[in-house]
Amino acid sequence: VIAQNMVKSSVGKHESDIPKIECGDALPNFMLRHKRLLLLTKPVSDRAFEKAKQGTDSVISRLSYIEKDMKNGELSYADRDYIFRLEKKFVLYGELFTHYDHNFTATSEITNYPALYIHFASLLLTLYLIKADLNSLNTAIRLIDHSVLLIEKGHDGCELSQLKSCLTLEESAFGKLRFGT
Amino acid sequence: LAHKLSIGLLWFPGPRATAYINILKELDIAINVIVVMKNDKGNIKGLTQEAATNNYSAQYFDVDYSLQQYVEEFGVRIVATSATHINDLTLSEIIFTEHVQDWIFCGGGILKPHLFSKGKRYIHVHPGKLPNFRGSTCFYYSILHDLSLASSAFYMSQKLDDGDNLAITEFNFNLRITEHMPLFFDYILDPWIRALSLKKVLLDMLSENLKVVNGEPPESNRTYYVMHPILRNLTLKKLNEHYDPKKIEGIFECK
Repeated sequence: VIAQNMVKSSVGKHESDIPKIECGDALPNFMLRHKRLLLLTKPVSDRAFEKAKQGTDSVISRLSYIEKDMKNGELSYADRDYIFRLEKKFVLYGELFTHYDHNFTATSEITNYPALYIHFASLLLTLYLIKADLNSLNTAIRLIDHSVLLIEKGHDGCELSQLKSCLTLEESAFGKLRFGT
Repeated sequence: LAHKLSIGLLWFPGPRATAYINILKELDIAINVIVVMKNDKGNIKGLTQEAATNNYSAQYFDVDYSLQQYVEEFGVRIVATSATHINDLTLSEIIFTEHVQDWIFCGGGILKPHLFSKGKRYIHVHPGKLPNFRGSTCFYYSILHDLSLASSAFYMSQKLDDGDNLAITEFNFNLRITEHMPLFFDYILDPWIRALSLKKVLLDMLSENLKVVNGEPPESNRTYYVMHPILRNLTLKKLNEHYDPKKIEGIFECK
């Protein structure tokens, strides 16, 4: 129940939306709740995924380029700016669309697409693991939380390989945070 | 006789405001005026009981010290308003009719430009070392990052957690948070570390020595976003692991 409440509460954007602090050992159950995604997720719909990846303003496509360009967590100014603006958009509005133009105005009507959230979470987790950037870790956890809630509601799934990799990164991130490894 | 300070307090009900009047009482300061705002979430359920069980008032502040007690004890005038946020126009009307320049603000939010007219200034205390730890839950981040803890008092500008620093206080701590202390972090530690920086500002005002202090240059303009409950839980774990039973328990200002 605690893990469930934590996942739900992370959808809130404000300090006052967060429940009082949980003092017990909450991590194992919390991670189990995220790992349930592996059982719940449906295969991503090829047609929808292709559409989400198409176009120069596709977020998934841009994130893939950034991942390829990233060397030891070092990002170009433009890539860093893109990631942090995307992160801010998600934090402020609680959702992301699949496509944005250069002014960060949504150019698609498709929102809350778990495949995008998992992709973005993976990139942020990588940044945390290399740069120890806690903000990135925080946002990545929220993105996975959102995906859990969306997939539970029957939204389209995400690529299984991407999801497995994301959850492995999350496990490593918590390991680093807890034990410095 | 109490010390008189020509400042106002924008009272946003909650533990932070209570911590601030504890400090005013401790320093024996009577301010000019308190403008009382409304906050539906100001009364934290269970705080009085938790404070009594853990004897918070001995080391931190008395969560039950009321505005009425302070006002009666020090003869401070209060003005009530229905405003629930800092940018409410009914609030600015009051601020502009009062003859004080500096206002202590104990709520949250970004101030709109109209509030800065007529030379009015607003002092806010943030639970982190500015400019690098910005955002309302940044004290969790700083503990999780490197077990550091600080607060910064500053004149507010029109940007979030930005302005001229007046006092930066860094703390050491030796704390063990048990399951009987779920409200300690947000409603005792946070308001208390803010109140201690406010104390420095008030002392500087009394000695007419209040000045802007230089902060470190910002490393990034990124704000720390509200921390996820699981990371808050891990922050607490880290803090407990750092606890040394052989040392005195508490939060201590670094000299």
